[in-house]
Formats: sequence, C-alpha cells, structure tokens
Amino acid sequence: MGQLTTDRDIVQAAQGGDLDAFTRLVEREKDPLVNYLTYLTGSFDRAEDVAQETFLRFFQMLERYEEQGRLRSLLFRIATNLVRKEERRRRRWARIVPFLLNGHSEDPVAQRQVLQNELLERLAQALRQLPLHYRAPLVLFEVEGWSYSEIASHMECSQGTVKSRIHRAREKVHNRLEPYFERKG
Amino acid sequence: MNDRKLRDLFEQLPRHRARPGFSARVRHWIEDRNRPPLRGQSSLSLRALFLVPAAVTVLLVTLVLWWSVGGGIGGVPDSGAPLVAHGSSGPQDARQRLESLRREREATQRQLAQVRALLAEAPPVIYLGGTDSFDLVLDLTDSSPRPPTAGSSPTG
Repeated sequence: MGQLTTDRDIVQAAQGGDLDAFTRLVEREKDPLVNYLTYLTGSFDRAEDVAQETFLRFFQMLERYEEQGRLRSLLFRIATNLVRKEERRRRRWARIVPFLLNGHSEDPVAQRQVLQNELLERLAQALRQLPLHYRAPLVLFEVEGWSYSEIASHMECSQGTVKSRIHRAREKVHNRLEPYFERKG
Repeated sequence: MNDRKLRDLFEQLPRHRARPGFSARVRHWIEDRNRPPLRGQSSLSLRALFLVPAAVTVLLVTLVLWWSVGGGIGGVPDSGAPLVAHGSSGPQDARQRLESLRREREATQRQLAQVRALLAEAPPVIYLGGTDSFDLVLDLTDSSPRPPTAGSSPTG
C-alpha cells in the first residue's frame, strides 16, 4: 500500500479492490463511530455490532460512492439509520409480544460497569430515554464535538432545526436530571 | 442546573473505543463471501415469501394426487371403483399406474427436501408485508428468553 493521505486516495484505492486501504479507513473511523453508537444505543456491545454493520454497508455501496469530503458524515448517517430501523423493529415487537423483549433492552449492568460515576450514569440513562431525533444531534454535538453545520449536513436539515432539536434535547435531559440534583442537595 | 453544568457533565462522559480485533473482524466479514445474510434483509424475506407458498403448493398437489388414486381416508377411491381396475385395464396396467405414481411421489419428496434445505439455510425470518418505506418482518432469531438480570423480577 502506498502513501494514502486523503479520504479520496483511500476511497479510490478501496474501490480498486485494495482491502488494506479499506481496513485503514475502518481503523481510523471505528473509535468515534463506536463511541457515538454507545451513547446512541446505550450499549457498548450493540454499538460494536452496529459499527461493524455500518462498515459492511459502506463497503457494499463503495462502488457507487463519490468522495466529497463527507465520508465520516456518511458513516454516521448509515449508523444512525441502522439504529433507527432497529428501534422501529423493537417498537413493533413491543406492541405485539412485550414479554419477548425481557432483558433485550438496554443493559444497565454493562453501563454500570462502564460508568462508575452515578451522575454520569444518570446522564447516559437520560440520553437513552430521548427520542432518536433528539438523541442523535445531542450526542453528535456534545459528545462527538460536531458543529451545527456538520450535524445539519449529516441530518439533511437546516441549522435552525439542529439548534432547536439540541435545545429541546438539553431541556429534556435537564428535566430528567433535576430531581436527582435536588435530592443530592 | 444550567447548560454549562450539563456541558461539563457531557465532557466527563468516558470515550469508548472499539475492542482490539474490530478491524480484522470487519475485514474477515468482507472477505468471507459466504457470510450468512443479515437478519431482516429483504432478499431473505423475499426468499421466504416465495419458498413457503411453493412448499405449500407442492404439498397440496401431492395430497390431491394421492387422494385422486384412492389414497384418502381409509383408502377408499373417490370414484367408488376398485383400485386395481380402472375402466377396462387389467392388473398389469394398474401396476404401471401405481409405479408411475410412486415415482412422482418420490420426485415430489425430493423437491420438498430441497425446499426444506433452502429454508433451513435462511434465518427464521418471516416477511409479513410492507411498503417502499418500511418492511414488516417477523424476526424469530432473538425470541428465546434470556435469563433475568440482577434486580428484575421473574415476571419481568
């Protein structure tokens, strides 16, 4: 593998069948994607599964992909859509046979292992309870450090919509954490 | 608690990293052309959609054929005629017909076995319907109950 410095180089090499180039791309993007998905799904294991699925989906569409500097945004969009589909499926199942979902929802035990700090655990819990259209932009902004314009591009909506959703999401998180703070004094 | 405090809290959230071997697993999946298709994929759903009715049709045809030669309940021919004497044909003719039906039955059984093998390859997914914007898929893969987690009651 030669010197692949830009996304365009890496994508072109991968499109030419260079799996090393694709693996390099996976190496570079896996951690931010897994971190984002952990807070989006509330489960590290699910996050890794969805991240792997995301890279596979991207590989399958690689031939048609034209690099325009939005590679990470595309990966995060594929991942968000996968989570959205999974949550829809889970909601349908929940309507039909709720008892089948016992123990299938978020894993608070795993979260407890990761988040020693109780307050942070509360925050992660509050995030999991947000609807996806609030959760995704809030995690991208607060956890991943994306700008409003990057999130707007990712979500294919205006910056105003992004700001509004993040504001509403913060309010909801704030409301969920407030009783805890009051109790703690 | 104001936005500043909330932001500070977000900054304290730990960053998660993919476990070692993540990239190798992705690469392995890509290299492995025979990887089983993913749950809920439309190709599988469509396969199930066509294979299940095909299997049912083959079964029905077999039953109808079997019934029409007098293999129904109690082995009574629906025409009321004796099994070995259709029309003016003799025992030899009846044996040939019987042999022909046996061959047909064996061929049908082979086809059924092929259909079952194809179904066995696919994960337990049933495509119930849908539109361009959504698929309603009954996914039975995760339907087995899991042991209760700590703190949960036996009834969930």
